[in-house]
Amino acid sequence: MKTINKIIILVAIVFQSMTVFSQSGDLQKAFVESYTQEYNKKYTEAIASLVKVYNEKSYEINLRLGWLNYINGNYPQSQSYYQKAINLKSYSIEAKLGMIKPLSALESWDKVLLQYEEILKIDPQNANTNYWAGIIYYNRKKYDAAAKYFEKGVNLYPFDYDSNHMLGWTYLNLGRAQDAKILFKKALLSHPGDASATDGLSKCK
Amino acid sequence: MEIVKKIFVVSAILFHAAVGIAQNVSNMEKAFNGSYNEEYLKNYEKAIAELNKVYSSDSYEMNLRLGWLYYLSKNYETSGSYYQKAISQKPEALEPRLGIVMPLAFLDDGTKLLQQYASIIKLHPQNTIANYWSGVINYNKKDYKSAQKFFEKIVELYPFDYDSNHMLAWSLLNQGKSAEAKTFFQAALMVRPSDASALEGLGKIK
Repeated sequence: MKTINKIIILVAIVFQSMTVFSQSGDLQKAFVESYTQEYNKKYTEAIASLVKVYNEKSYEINLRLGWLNYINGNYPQSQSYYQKAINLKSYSIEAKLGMIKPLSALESWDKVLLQYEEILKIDPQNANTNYWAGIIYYNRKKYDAAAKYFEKGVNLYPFDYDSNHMLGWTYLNLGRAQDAKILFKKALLSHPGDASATDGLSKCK
Repeated sequence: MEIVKKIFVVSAILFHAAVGIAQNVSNMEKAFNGSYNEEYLKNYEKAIAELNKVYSSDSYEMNLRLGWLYYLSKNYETSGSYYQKAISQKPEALEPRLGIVMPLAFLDDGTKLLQQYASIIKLHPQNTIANYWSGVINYNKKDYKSAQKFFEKIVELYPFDYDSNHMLAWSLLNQGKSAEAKTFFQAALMVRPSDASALEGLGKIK
């Protein structure tokens, strides 16, 4: 009788594992379908494939639905899935970088900036984030704040055209022409003849 | 007359400085431009020669670029030495450290390579390239526990990244942590369904 019980328990465990495995198989199948449909630009169908197996606790499904809704032009829905992914994995940079896409499309720049700041709390040296946070402040004419972000980029990547070029313009707008000059010259070493850096350099009297 | 002389002297100094700057910028810019054109044509020796015409050991940019060009021309020792100069000039910069790892990898100097990755991680703890390759080097040394630590860091930041999920799974499997490995193989398969290596790993888990 003991042996029969053991067999029943073992069969139950194996059956459960098989169910889980098959569920995992369904999930994989849904992802495969969604990739194929995305490739064929059938975004609504790609979303539907994942919705069939949707589990709100799955980070991966929420992240992917955030992306698919974004490319489908449904920005509020994209935002809501990315938010779920962020809530599920609060240290995930990829989910925050994803969230920035619908927020940018909606031109919610304060919220974009907030996401950049969240990323920089986790990864203060993140080059792209520092650069784009700098751009937002630059466009708002907050040159002191912009300088802080571009300086970080230049310190870590001193030969980087983008941060040298933008820090050059930021310093020029702060009235720091001599500092700006050095940066424009560095930008020109990376991109010789660059029109904007040459223009900036000519303004450094 | 005294005032006129002073004005003349100041004007001469300014003119001299302006000419100096213009020459300096245009010569440097010209040399860099020439080196880019030669690099594009895969004439690496000529690209190096363009820069050597105006070489100054104090120039971080030249040392960095010569490091890259010597790397492309497969002169790994010299490449490493230029990158090292750039590192010494800007020790807080990541880019020359990310540069030097390329010749070091070809020189098969695993110890120095790991040291550079460690120095990158010290400056930028979340650097995905340095964490990933530190993990791979440790994995190849069969130090799976150390490898796990590096891959875990990336998975935490980029949970949908195939490479780190895949390598973390193998690191765990090699430590006998099958149940944990399974989760990461499955995550890798969501990114790359039917990936042969992830399926193979999953197949080894009973």
